[in-house]
Amino acid sequence: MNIDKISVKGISCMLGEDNERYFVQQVNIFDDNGEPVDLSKVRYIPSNLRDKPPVSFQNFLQRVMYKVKGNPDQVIRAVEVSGLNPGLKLTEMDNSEVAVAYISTLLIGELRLALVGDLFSKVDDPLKPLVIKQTYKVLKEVGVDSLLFLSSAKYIGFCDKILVAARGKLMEEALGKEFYHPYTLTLINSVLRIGGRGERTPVNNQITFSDVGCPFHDSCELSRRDRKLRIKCILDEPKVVRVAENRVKCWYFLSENDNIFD
Amino acid sequence: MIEFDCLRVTGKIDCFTLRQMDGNVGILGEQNSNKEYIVKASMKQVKSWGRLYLNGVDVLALKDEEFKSYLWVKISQIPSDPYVLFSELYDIRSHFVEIVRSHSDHSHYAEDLALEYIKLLGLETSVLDKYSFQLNPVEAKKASIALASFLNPELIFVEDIGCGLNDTQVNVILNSLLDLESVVDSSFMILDNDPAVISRMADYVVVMLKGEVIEEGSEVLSYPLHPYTQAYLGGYLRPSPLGKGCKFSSSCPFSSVKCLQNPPYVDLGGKKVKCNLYPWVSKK
Repeated sequence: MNIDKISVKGISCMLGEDNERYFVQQVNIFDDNGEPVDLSKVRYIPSNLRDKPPVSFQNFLQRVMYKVKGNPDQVIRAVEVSGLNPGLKLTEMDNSEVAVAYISTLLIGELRLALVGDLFSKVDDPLKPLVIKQTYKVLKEVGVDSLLFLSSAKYIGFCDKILVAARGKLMEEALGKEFYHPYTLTLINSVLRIGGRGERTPVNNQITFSDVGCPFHDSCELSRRDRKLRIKCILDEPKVVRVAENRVKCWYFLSENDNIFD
Repeated sequence: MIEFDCLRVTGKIDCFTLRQMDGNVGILGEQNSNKEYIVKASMKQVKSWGRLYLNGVDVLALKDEEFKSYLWVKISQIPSDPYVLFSELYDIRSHFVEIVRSHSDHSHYAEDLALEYIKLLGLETSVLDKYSFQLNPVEAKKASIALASFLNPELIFVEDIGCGLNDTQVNVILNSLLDLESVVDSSFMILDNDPAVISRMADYVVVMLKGEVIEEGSEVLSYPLHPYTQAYLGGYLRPSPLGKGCKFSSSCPFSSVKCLQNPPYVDLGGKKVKCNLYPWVSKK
């Protein structure tokens, strides 16, 4: 399956399901001048927290240092920033600590781009803010462009740019915190907050994706309301249009005067 | 009326006591809070001490044969992994029939009842003819909810509804449980690490920290008193080693020497909290 071309700037977050698998498997990376980026300078932190090496955190960082040709000062800095006990074995750590340990490795060696898998979904709910905070701290210190894969919209507040995609297909690209694509709105609405007793949530149906037309058309409220629109959504893949600051891939927003990007 | 009287599981649960059970109870705790042992002990899956009264009958004192007659009819469970409830050798319909047969000679109503609950939860009736491995996570969760509730038990344990589901799917399940709640007489005990789920489902909230109840009341999520609950809800909790005395003493910003002793469980009228921050009440 083909995946869409995306551009990454600052801390970019890719929101949606199953994206990590699609994007990481088929990655070709180019810089601003269109030159291919050396993949040895692209670091990928997978979301799998199960396979923890049975070594201490310090030892783990040293192994990473040898592999990526870093230096001992970077290892010391990684320990400092993480706030973890360097003598603690990864197998003895909580999932949130392992996630922080993995993220800290980005401080070692030379880096052009960081790809961070959805580690947050594997961490216990009350400890997620801690992992997010540490991730932000590390990425700001490293200062390179990064792409984080997120399945929940709960913690998108720290992202400079938000890309919303499903199964490798880009739906919306946003620099601010305003969203327009129905899929993005469903993801935003499905974030659960503390509510009143008996309070229902606005999302009643689970999302199903289609291989033809707009991947979201089966679950789309907008498409359901308008028969003509629905036919278009089922038959053709939508064009990208500008809506306010965002680039949105949805037939609903397309009128004849719109600036089509592709 | 359901009452837990100092339920203990060695090394897991200290002394779980709960005397209020009008409506639903929510148990909030991290993954390592051992809250799941309350369910395991109540379902007699692990050795435990203490009492669990269901309308005056001590369920834990029942012999295994007697307990089997209580299972599904008086007490049931929706596990975090719904697939464990189903055998892959039988279709979903057979599970409903089998449960009714094990409690009564008249099983003719089982299929009708199953169909009713499957529809109530918004599932397609064809789910009954499928096998558990053919169900997606939401269907499996809903089928397990139907199985746990179709005989209208007095108490249903609901474990971690978000386990293995994404945000949208959690929304769907939560709405289904709220729908179900309005048509059954059962009380629910919701064990979850997400305060948002508990706030919508529970009338009374208990907070657990490493096997110990540290706070309880009906307004715990709006007005948390214990520093642990405040950190939990405020999003600044950190993994911490087990403290001496108060289990949160190693990470508590208000910790003092006094906290190295076991703090008193203070009653603040409708709220209870295990913390030395409220000494003026405990001296009364």
